[in-house]
Amino acid sequence: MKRTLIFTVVTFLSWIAQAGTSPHYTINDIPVPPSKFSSSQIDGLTFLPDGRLVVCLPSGEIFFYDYETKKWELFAQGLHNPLGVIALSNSELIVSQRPELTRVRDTDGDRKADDYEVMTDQFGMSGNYHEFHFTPVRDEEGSIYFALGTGSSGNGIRPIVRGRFDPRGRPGRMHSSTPYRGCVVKLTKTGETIPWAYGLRTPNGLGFDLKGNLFATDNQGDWVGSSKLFHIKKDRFYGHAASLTWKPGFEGIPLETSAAELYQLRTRACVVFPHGTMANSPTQVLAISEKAKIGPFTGQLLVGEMNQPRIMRVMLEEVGGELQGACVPFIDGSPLRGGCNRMDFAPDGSLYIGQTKHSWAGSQGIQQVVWDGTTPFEVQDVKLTKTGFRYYFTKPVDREIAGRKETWSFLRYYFEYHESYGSAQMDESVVQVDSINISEDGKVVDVNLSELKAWYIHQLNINQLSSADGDKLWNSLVVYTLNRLLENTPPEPPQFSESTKKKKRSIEPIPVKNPRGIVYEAERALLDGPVTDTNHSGFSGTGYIDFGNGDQSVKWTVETEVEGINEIQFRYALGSGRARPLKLLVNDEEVATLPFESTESWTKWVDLVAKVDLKIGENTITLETTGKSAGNIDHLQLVE
Amino acid sequence: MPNDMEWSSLFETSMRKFLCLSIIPLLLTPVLRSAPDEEVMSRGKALYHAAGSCVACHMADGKGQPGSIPPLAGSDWLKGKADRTIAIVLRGMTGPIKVNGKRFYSAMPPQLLFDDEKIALMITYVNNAWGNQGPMVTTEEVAEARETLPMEVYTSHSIVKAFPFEKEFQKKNGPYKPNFDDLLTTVTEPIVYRTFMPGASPAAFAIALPGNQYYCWDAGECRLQYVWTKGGFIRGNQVHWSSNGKPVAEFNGTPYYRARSSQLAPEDYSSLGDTNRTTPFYDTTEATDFPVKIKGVAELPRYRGYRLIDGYPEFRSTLGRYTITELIKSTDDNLGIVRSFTVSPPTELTFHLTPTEEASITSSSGELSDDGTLRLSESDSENFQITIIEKNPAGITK
Repeated sequence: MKRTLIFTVVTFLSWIAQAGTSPHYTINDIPVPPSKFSSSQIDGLTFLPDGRLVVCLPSGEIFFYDYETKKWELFAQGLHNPLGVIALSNSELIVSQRPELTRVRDTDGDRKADDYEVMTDQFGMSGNYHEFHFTPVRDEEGSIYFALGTGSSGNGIRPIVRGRFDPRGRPGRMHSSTPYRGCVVKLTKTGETIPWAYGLRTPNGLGFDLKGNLFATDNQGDWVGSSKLFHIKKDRFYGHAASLTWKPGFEGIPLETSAAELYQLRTRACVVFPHGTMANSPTQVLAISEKAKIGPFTGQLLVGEMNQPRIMRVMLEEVGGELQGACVPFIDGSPLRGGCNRMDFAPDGSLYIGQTKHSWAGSQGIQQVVWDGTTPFEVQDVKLTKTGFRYYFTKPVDREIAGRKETWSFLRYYFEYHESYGSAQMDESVVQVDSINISEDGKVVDVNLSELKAWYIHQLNINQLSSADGDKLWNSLVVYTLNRLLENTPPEPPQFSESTKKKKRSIEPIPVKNPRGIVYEAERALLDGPVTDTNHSGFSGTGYIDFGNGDQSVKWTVETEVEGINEIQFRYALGSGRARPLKLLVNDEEVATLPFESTESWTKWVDLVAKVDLKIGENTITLETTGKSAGNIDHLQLVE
Repeated sequence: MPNDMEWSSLFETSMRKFLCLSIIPLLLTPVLRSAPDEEVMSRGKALYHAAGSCVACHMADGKGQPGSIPPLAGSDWLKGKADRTIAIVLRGMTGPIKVNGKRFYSAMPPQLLFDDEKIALMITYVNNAWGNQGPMVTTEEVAEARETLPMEVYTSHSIVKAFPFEKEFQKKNGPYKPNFDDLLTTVTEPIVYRTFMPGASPAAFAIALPGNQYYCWDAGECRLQYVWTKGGFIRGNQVHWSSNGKPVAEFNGTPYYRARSSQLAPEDYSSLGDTNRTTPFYDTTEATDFPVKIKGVAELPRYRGYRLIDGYPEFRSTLGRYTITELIKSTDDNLGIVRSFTVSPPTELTFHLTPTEEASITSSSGELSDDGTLRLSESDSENFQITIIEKNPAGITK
């Protein structure tokens, strides 16, 4: 709780510092489509060849908008959470909806779709709500790439799942128990569906740059210390463990693999978006094309953000054979709304944005960003040098301000790779500026640092800087993800940690029988989540189990010769003041919620008695958390 | 701007305040109430239970059907004078209403088949059955109402305006602002939704047909899973679509036809709406219940999409080199569904149905055995229909 509070304050301050959109850009509200479900969340957005705007809504409706007549037309309906759309012609779309990639067509010319053809449904669905099917993109050859979200421990899976269920991918905070969840998938021109890249968590955004490189964003969470942009290449693994289930040649169980091994397997992000500073939930990747009228940034990438009103700009370069680079806020703050989920350039070069939230942070509606054609004072590009960074500006800088070392405020840190949710900024330190060189025209500044450290994020704040003609630098937070140096890059340091809690996970229940026949130690039962601990004395056996937050459970297999009602006792200690209930399941069926009142001390062990209906022979008894932590459980005893 | 309803209730509220004092003495007068005799009750009961009569919707126990048909047992609407009830029975009423605080959206048709005496008996029965203690109604009262009431179907607004509730009942009874789900009382064109449905893989369709037949078609298993009609179409859609997509759709009825699932045990059926399981009952690569079996074809069926024909989806699946389409409509009398299939290229096949007490199953061609196996010759397979009709469809007003 305390941690959250501090985090919120910091986040708030850093966002305030950036608030307000540059005066060179106007933001217009576009009327929303007349959905019969009275929602105007926009989940997909693009333009038809004839210039009309296309939007998808969570309700499954697709509308076309003629911005000259300002009229909306319903084109298709009944889709399952469509989250992305490609226009093939004025009457034919490719839509990613939860169950499939679908070609939606009007074949009889009545301006309404009448044919919904499966392009591919050769991937799995466990029915978990978090298994989103994110936006599709098409390469020049006509192959299509799409990204599949993992399932969340915020809920389980459905009784019937589509595609092959593999229990190896099921445990964990975010899971991948059916094919290709957590992967970028390719649908080839010949109709083959192949997993293309692995290791993603919530990749809510794919996009090509103008050179044909494919990128995906990912959201902070387990295995993702902070949100990221990945350069997607075939067969690579990007860090989130669950989807390794589907990687040919990976034989193990993802969560039983050490973080050290996974760290070796993974490909680093080319850009990290520091959480709370730059972005908390990045969305679509959109290349700034030749036709875009958004300023002198052609070839760079725009990336949306859900949690705050922000669209970021990404500048990349190839260093040591891999892409890496910097991100800056770009369209930032009011009147832009949050929830900028999908965007595209209109035929007139302006940027259209569809906003959504799906019960998370965000908003709803459509906005248009129009550039006034004058040059904004912005960081135009960033390049790594041997001793620091070279910053290109759109206009000459104020030489006096730019020449001061204190104008350039650098912070260096990394995000740790580990299973638990998110990461703090690790090994954070201020980096001293050694020297500054300003080019003759005042548009290029070389900043040489006292030390340039590979595999660290270098965060620059230059909010004091202004242009020679007195313009404010509207976007002054420049975060460069420094992976490789121009030469002599050292090997990656171990920026990971193994789970600090000893984990014991298994796919099949391990039947445990105590020699005495009636006491079943918790530490020897099947644990999904809880860890074994010995800190508080008075336990039986070799320890007790300690529950964490989230959905966790302990499962015993017990044997009885008594048909029907059996009395069982749970020995537990609960030092916190309040009761922490646990669900009781017998043979996997929920039968009760047991109160587990406070025992007032973590070393005071008491028995909680429950009567359960058992069958002769083996039965399973499970205690499951209700999303929150619970008392320490020592053992289960079958009372004779 | 306040609508009529608000104006009228404002007016009534102030009038009531004003009149309150003068009414008190009347309220203190003990009401002498005599219960109807047994003969009246038994004749009323017989009419209530007659075919096509009240029981069809309001049910034998007078409890109605959740969400669509309001209860008569314990209903606040029956308390006090009977004039409102007589008006509703004679003229009918549309529009969503609250009864005892619960919402109902089905319309009540005017009862044109019964004469004044029968209506008097029915209302008297309803007013005094299931623990109700309402007034007896005479033939003359009904006759007079029939003469004097305006010749139009009441709306939930106009009925309350004409026959206001006592203050204590106003909050929990009367019209309410409906949401989209509530407006689906009568399905006029096919509605196609893809959403999470109970008892199907996550790749499911919920379809509503004109004639108020509803079905769940499963794109994961390429087959019809179940059909229902009572209780209305799926509800809660707006919650589903405006949030993170977690909920499984719900509906009030019970399927009268459900295709067999070999992998499910009888006790599994109560869990088919679950969302929080660790392992599934089965996955679709193990699904063996695709209804079409063709000799020598071992492949799993693949779902290929659908096209809309007059708004009706025609589903396409392939089984090996064969393409199978299915289009479902209500029967002409709206008591069941007709499933139209094509198989291309045509071939000898068996089609597997699930016999049930709840429905009769017939086929346009081929031989249908008691275990639900339909044998079709090559020529029959090209185009055939299977009709599933709910048996004893009491409870449906078409």
